[in-house]
Amino acid sequence: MSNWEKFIRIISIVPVTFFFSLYSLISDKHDIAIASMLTGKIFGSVTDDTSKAFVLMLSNILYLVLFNIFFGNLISEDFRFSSVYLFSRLRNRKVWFYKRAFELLMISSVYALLFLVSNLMICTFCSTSKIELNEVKIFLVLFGLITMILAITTIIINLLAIKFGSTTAFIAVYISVIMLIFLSLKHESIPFLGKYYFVRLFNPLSGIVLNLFDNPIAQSIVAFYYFILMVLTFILGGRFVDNVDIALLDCESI
Amino acid sequence: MDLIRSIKMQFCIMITSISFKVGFSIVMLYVLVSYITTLVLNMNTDIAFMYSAHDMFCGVEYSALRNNFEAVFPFIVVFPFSFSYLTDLGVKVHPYVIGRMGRRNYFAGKIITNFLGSFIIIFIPFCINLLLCYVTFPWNNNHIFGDYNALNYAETLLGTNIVVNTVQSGLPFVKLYLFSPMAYNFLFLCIISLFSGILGTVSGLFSFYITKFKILLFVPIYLLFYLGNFLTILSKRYISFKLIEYMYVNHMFGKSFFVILSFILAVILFSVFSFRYACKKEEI
Repeated sequence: MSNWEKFIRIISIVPVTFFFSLYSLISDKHDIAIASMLTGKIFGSVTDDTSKAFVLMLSNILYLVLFNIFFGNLISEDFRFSSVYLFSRLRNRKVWFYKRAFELLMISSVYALLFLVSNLMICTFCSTSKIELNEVKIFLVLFGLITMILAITTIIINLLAIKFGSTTAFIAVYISVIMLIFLSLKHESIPFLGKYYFVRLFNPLSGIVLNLFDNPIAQSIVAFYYFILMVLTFILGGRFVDNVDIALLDCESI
Repeated sequence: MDLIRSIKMQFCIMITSISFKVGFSIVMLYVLVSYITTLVLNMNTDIAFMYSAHDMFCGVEYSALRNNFEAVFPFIVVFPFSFSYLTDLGVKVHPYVIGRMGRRNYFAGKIITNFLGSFIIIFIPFCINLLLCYVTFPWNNNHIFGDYNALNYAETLLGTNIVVNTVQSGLPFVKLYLFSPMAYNFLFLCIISLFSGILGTVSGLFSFYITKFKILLFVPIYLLFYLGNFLTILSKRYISFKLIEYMYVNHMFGKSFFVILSFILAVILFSVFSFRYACKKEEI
């Protein structure tokens, strides 16, 4: 994938976000805080008597799906179409994978930034209130979380794509995402685990912004949990890439 | 004759391909899990209070796990055969196949097989779910549309309880529903399968243009669905552009047959245009 292609795919989120927010742009302004509006545009909330958790909305994961599709073969295409050429010249496959995964992390951060800035502009236009310190805080938390979600899911797609092909890998990860969202929505009905509110934290698509507004401890736990997930994806991915038999995967000669 | 041979050959390739098996397995898994979930949810429920078998079918709006399936549906329909042209290009087999059967038969065969593949992956599993539901659950008159023969039942079926300015209300094909809810469910099973077939064909047609990255073929159908949800909000007099709403048994209002007609017309035009484009592209 050339740099130009990467650039086009990254900035495509800006027109898409504006296009699908046209309705908000043409309707009247609301007296809602920008932070709440921004969170509401990206997440749905699940509430019970004592707590409130935010989950990804099935109807609003276009940005995630597009990113997964656009960059779901960033690492795996090298493996399938130029592995013999590439790995016969490289000393360490693990280092190569870490570099590529880090590149994907950087791309996801730029993509998340563009997505959030577009949404923030829309929310500022639609709201009567102004950007304050709380908005900046929410923006930074959302930026970190969305970057992590995008990077982790896309790296997993790339790793699975090496073995099963990009389409099967994408559908497998997408179904997992849907299942995790479903589980988070039905958390209270899960036998035994449903009683424990904080178990939701271990569902990576559910506890993501648990008590975002008033619980710094929960936020730290979530951030740490995502960091652990990211590190695990890197380490396990590196080991997987190191052990893959390129003779079985290479499609260069076809 | 060559066209039939082309369809036969491509159909045989399709049913042995991994992508068809994956798509079919996912839909099969969904219908079985939906059936089991319905079974579990109705455990210890008195048979007099249990919903009728007609409403347990996974083609009905309020069936178990339907929302999850709706989220996967735009990707599932792409699976059966839409990637085949790209695979042919990748393994460079298409010049030989085209040489044997001709460009027109090759591409027409691809379009028809695409339709058949996406039709089958919905039709067979949903049929199995329909049968399982009718074998297991009671055929009573506890309907999702209201208490049988009560006022709310009639209002829902006829759409007289709708207070929104809309182009349509009430149950479509209501006479068939009153004659036989089972036949009604089967009609909608055929409709959703046909719809799936059409979407499969559309994504297959996009493969004539997107020839580099297979995974990008998921985008057009997903955007089509997303755009449908968006237009529903924008229209003044309520018309539903959410295509999937037309394919399920439900009493949602705002279903305009012009939407479906224009969609089918657009697909036909796009098919003709793409067919000509593909034939021209492969001209020697």
